[in-house]
Amino acid sequence: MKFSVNQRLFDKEVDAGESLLDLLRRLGFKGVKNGCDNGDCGTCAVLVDGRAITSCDYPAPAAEGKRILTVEGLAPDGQLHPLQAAFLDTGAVQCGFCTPGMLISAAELLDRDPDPSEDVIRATLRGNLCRCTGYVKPVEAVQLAAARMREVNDG
Amino acid sequence: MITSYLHPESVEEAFATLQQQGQRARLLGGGTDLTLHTPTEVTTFIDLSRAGLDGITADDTGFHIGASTTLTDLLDYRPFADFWSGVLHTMLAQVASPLHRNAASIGGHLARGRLSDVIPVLLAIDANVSFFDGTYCEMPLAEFYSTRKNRTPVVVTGVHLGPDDGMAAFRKFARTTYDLAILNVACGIRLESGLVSWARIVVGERPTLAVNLVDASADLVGHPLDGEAIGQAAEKARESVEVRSDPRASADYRRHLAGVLVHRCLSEAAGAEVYA
Repeated sequence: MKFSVNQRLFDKEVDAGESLLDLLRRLGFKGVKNGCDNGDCGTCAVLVDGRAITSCDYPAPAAEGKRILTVEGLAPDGQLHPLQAAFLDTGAVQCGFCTPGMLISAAELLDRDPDPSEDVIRATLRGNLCRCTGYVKPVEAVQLAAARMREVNDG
Repeated sequence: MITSYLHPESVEEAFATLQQQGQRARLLGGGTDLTLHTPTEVTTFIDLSRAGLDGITADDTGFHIGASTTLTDLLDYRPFADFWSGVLHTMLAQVASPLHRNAASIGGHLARGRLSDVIPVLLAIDANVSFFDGTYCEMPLAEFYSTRKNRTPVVVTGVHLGPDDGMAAFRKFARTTYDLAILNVACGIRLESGLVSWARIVVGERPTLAVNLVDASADLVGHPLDGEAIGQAAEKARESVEVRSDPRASADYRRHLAGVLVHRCLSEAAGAEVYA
């Protein structure tokens, strides 16, 4: 089955019953976390053709021909994505287990809406369960990243 | 255990495979439910994503929604922002999270029926379901569910929504905003000369399949949708709805919720101020 992960092409044998989460971790993309394995917690989120989905309940064979982006792909050359930098700068990371999924959800959001309201950010992140921060800092981080990205884009 | 994953490129091909494999095969929409709760006898997934069932089209009879259309696509579809009081938009924004809505398909919800906020709303706005059982068919969604025990497996191909000629509202009650509903209610109302000419009061997650409360709905017809009519309908809904207990809530609790949510839904449809 052919597909791409973080702009790298793969042609791999995939089990019919395998989840995309298991496939990605098998290929070494360990930034994709296995939390609940039940579609609830969101830490396994990846972008498939630009849409954020939970990879634990997404069949691997459904990804044939698709473009997958994991959290590793947000910083392809080691340069942090503005979202990653903002999460660090605001202290939005505590235990960090939910962070890869949050970054992916937020990346899709900022791609669709460069200036989201706090309500929209909260509605977007509600599929990424965090038991440490209470969401205050992650919401601040997404706002900060959005502002920084707008500044760059508005030049 | 899944040992075969197929990508049919047409509805006919998907149906032929389904017929050939019988109980060993399941049609797959977004997979958000089926991949996690695969029946033990199932060894084949028939992925419908390449069968040409995605997208929404509009014509003079209303809207045709392909079964592979995701809940996000529906939520983003601008004509639905005001359609039947914007009830589809209101409901979809409350379904799980964007991560789920980006993958889950309306066809998956239609095929499963239960554990859904989508189905009560479709029933309340008089939707038709289209499917393929050797020929292409369309029938009211309520009839599709009431007759499906007598039907061999079909390929659900989509939903047909009629004209935007009514008012509707949706309410759900869940432990958290992200959770499945303990109970949900949708209502649809058509008015003529200020009087109700058609009504649907649908209660879902009872926890069985959503049902239109025929008597409570019929009592509204011929009357203005005022506080008295709404109060009586809510009381009748509370008394008449068939509910069960499960680990999520007791039958008594669900019965109480049904009365409250029907009152709020009808009040909202009538344009009255409603306690959230």
